[in-house]
Order: sequence, then structure tokens, then C-alpha cells
Amino acid sequence: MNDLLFGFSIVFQPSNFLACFIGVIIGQVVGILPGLGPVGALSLLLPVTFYIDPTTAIIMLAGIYYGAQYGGTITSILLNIPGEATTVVTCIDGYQMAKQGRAGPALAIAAFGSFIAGTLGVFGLILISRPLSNFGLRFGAPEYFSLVFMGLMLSIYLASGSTLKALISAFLGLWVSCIGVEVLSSTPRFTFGSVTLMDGVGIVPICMGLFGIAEVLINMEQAVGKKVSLMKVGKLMPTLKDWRDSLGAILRGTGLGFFLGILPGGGAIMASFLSYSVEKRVSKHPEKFGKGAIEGVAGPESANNAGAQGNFIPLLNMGIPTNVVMALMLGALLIHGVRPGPFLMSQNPKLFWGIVASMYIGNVMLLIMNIPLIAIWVRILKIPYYILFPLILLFCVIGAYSINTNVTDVYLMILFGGLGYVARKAEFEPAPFVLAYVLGPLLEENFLMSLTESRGNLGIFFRSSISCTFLIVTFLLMIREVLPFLKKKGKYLLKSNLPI
Amino acid sequence: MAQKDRLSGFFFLIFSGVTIYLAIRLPMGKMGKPGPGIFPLLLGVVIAFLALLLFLRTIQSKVEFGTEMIPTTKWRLVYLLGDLCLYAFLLRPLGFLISTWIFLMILKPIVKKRWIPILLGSLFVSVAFFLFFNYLLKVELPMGVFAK
Repeated sequence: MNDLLFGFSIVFQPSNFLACFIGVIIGQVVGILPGLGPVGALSLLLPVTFYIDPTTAIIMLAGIYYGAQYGGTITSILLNIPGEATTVVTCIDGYQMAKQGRAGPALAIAAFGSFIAGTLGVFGLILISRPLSNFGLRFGAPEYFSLVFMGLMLSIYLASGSTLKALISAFLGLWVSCIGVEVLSSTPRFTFGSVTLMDGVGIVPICMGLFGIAEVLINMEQAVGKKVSLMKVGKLMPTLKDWRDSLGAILRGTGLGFFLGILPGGGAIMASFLSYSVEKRVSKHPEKFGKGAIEGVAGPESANNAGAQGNFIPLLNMGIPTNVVMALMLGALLIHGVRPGPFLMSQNPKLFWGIVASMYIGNVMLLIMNIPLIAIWVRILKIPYYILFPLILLFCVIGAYSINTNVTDVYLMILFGGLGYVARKAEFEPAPFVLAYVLGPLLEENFLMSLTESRGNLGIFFRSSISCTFLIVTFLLMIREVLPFLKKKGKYLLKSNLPI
Repeated sequence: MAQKDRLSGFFFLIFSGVTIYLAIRLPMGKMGKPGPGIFPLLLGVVIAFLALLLFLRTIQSKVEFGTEMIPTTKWRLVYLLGDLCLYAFLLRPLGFLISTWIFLMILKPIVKKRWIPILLGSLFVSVAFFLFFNYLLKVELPMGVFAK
């Protein structure tokens, strides 16, 4: 408890408080705007954080993350367009409520539910952090390697789309992380003689290219300029009955979201979908779902916010990012020379508890801002894309340039923009790539350290039950994916006598 | 869909081949001291395996070598990328203000508005961004022709 109060004292410092506020506002706006998500926004703002203190930087970035959840909700309810992947489910009943003139209560319940989820989530985080950190202290290099590898594979497995292609994406990301000068031996790898590449590719050009520029390119496929019709907001406050109906959903959503947020993979996204199914299953009036049941909004919205909190736990306590956004946070921390992990709490309590406290404060800010200011947010939706996309591109270019005042980074970003577009068209997800890219050095470092310790004996990865467990889980996942394919291929090959 | 996968699989097979070739030329180190080449080599092998799986998966479905193998070029996107490259090229020599202005104005065919608003709008945005980033956020932007 003392630690939390300490954290609050950090957050209330003017620069941190301002950072939280700005982050949350940017997050909201980003969540509302189409074609720009928290990943894109984080990528764009990553360079800006270079100039500020790491605690302040992460507070702002975190604010953007859960601010975006709120923003996405607004477009889901008012426009039936999900602002974020985590708010897709909110469209179902939220938009129906809006059509019935009940957009106000829907938005309000979403805000309150998220706030409650956020608050409970922070407490959950406090409870789990210490035991988890202690657990992490028992980890050696092999355990870390197995954990990170399992986390990466788990994220891929749980992601949407083709697992095989996501795997390829991920291993490509790992490969790209090898570009540059290898740390232990000072050997340049894959640099083709370029001085810039000796520093590696850099997370900023990659992210801005893959998520900023590629996104614009995809949107450019249709001519610029779409008209959307907006639902009116109407009366704001939910009725007492609304509250009674939603309370259970909110609590269930929170629990679900928090737990799923800790696991690698979709986290908040899966949590929202699962919460919707749970609410429908549990409800005494399942037929109301899809026609404006407020539980269908309250549950998922709480779940995605709790999920966002849960996401931070593996990152802060073990240094393992469980999705792309967390990977970016890790990237930001590493740039500032902070290594999250079991030692973070003791070595850098200012950062750790500052972030935790800021999550709570951020939720409060969002609640205060959302209730009266919804009309303003709705205005933002009216900004036409033809004004938006040049601004996004400008942001990207400035961001890329400002890392090293080097134009090569801009070219790299453009390259990744093009590649990202092609990848998207070929149905390769960019998220596993970025996650793997950030985890690459960690993975390799622990891999080599393990082998050094064991003098080349691969058995070291199986020496402890911890490491074994992770590896077995990973293996099982992979088998599940490959097995049906092999079975089919085997039968086909036998039947057709192909000369393969 | 299958055509795309086949192409992708083929591409990555070649890619991993190149990767493995490059990785092998790196020092592998000894038993107790693994070298920088090991990790990339392993990655290359895995990518090759996965690419092969991807390619083989397409054999199941009937794939004709139709003309739709390469999708039609979307000129608007090429234009945009070209504009970006030009911007990057001009950034240092001409400085931020002018190159940004040019970059934005070149977008006119995509944005489809008239000359005067484009001219003024682009100028306004260039100056605004310059002031915001250079002075407020203290990000160093190239001065180009305005350098003393």
C-alpha cells in the first residue's frame, strides 16, 4: 500500500501529470480516428519520448494505450465502426442502443465500466506483482529463453489469421533483429557495408513504416473521401435499472479481462469477445443480445480495459511483452536504458510504482473527460481523411528523421511502409513481426548465454522444470498446428504419387 | 489466395536460402563459445522449413498460372511512395520548410482540391509543424537553404 502512495506522489509531479493527461487525450483522439490505432500512435510518438525522462515517457505511452480503448468505444457505439479491435464487440449492442436513442447510457456505462475495471485492475496488479517478481528471480538464462520463446509462440498461435504465416512473420522479425553489429563478438551481420545498418534497423522506422505508412497506403486503395452518418447522443446518464443489469457484467468482464491480459496473445481483444459470449450465456434474457442489451456493452468494455492493465504485468515484472503494444513499450524502455524484469521493482521503484499509479489516475481522467466531453470527441470524427493522411505521413517522416537526424531512417521507414503494404496484401500480419523484432535480442542473448554455460549442450534448456514446462507447451502448440496439415499432405502424396 | 501463398512461399524459400548462405559465412564459434552465426543460421533454416510448408500447402488446391499472379499496380500508391522518397531526398538540402511544402503540394491529385487552398494549406501546415517540432519539442529539423 505504501508503494502505491509512493507511486501517486510520483504521478502528481507536474511533468508526469501532464504527460498522463496528454497521453490520455492523444489516446482518445487516436481511438476515435479511423486508420490510426494505438500501435500507430505509439510508433509516431516514440521518438518524442527520447527527450523526456523514462518514467514520464511510459506514463504518457500507457495513457495513449488505454485512452485509445475509450476512443474506440465512441465510434463503435455511434457509427457502428470499431475504432479498435478491442471495441468490435461493442458495436453489436452499442450501436443498437444508439439507434434506440440510448447512445448516452451506452457510452456512460462503457466509461464507468472501464473505470471500475481499471481500478480493480490496478489493485490486481499490485497484488500479483511481488510474488511474480520473486518467481522471476529464480530464472536463469535457459528459463528466460524458454519463457520468451513460449510467449512469442503463444502470441502467434492466439493471433487471428494463418498461424503458419504469422510464424513466418515472426521469424522474419527475429532475423531482422540480427541486422547490425553483434554485441558479444562485434561482428557485423547482414549490414552489406552500410554504416547506418551497423546500428541495426531501429524500431521506429519499422513501426512507423509497417503501421503508419502501410496503413495509409491501404486506405489509399479507395479514393479519399467517405461520408459517414452519425447517431445523435441524447440523454447521457444510465438508469438505475441499467446499473443493476450491468454490474455483474462489469465485474465478470474485469476478472476475465485481467486474467487474459496477463497471458500472451490477443489479451484485451480476446477478453472482449469472450466477455460478450459469457454475458450472453449467463443472462436471463439472451434474446436481448444483439438488440441493445446493455450487458453486451458493459462486459466487453470492462474486459478490454482490465485486459490493458493485465498486459502490463508480464512486461513490468518479467520483461516479457505479450503483444505488439507492450513490445513497443519495451522498445521505449530499452531506448531509455531501462530493463524491465524482476529487478525493476527494487531497482527502479520510481518507474514501476509511478506507472502503476498513473494507470489509475489515467482512468480517472478518462472518466472525467468522457462524461461531459463526448460532444467534442464526436466533432473529431468529422475530420476528413484527406486532411488526416498527409498529417500522419508528416508525423512519420519527422519521427523517423529525428531519431538520428539521419535521412536513411526515413528511407528505411518508407521501405517498411511498402513492405508492410505488400505483406498485408499477401495476408501476413505485421504484429508478430514487430513482437519478434523486439524480443529477438533477448532471445538470442539468453540462447547464447545458455549454450555458453552448458558448453554447447542443448540439454540445458531442459534442466529445470520451469524451462521444460515452457518448451513442452510450445512444442504441443506447434504440433497442433502442423499435425493436421501433415496428415492431409501424407494422404494426398500417397494417393497421387507426386515426385516430391 | 492460393496463388499469393505460392508466390510468398517461393519468395521466402529463396530468401531463406540467401540468409543461410550469408549466415554460414559468419563465425560459428566453438562448443563452449557459440558465435554470431548460429542464431541467424537457425532462423534461416526455420524460415526455409516454414516457407516450404507454405508452398506445399498450395499444391492441394488447383492453381492455374493465371494472369492474376501479380495484382495490377495501383498507381496512386506508387505516386505516394514516390512523393515520400522525393521528400526524404529534398529534406536536407532544401530544409524542412520548403521540402514539406513541396511534399504536401504534390499530394494535390490525391486530395483533389483546388490550387489556392492547397498552396495555402500546405504552407500553413509546414510552418505550423516546423514551429511545433523545432521550437516546442526541440526536435532538430534541417534548415537547408535557410541555414546561416
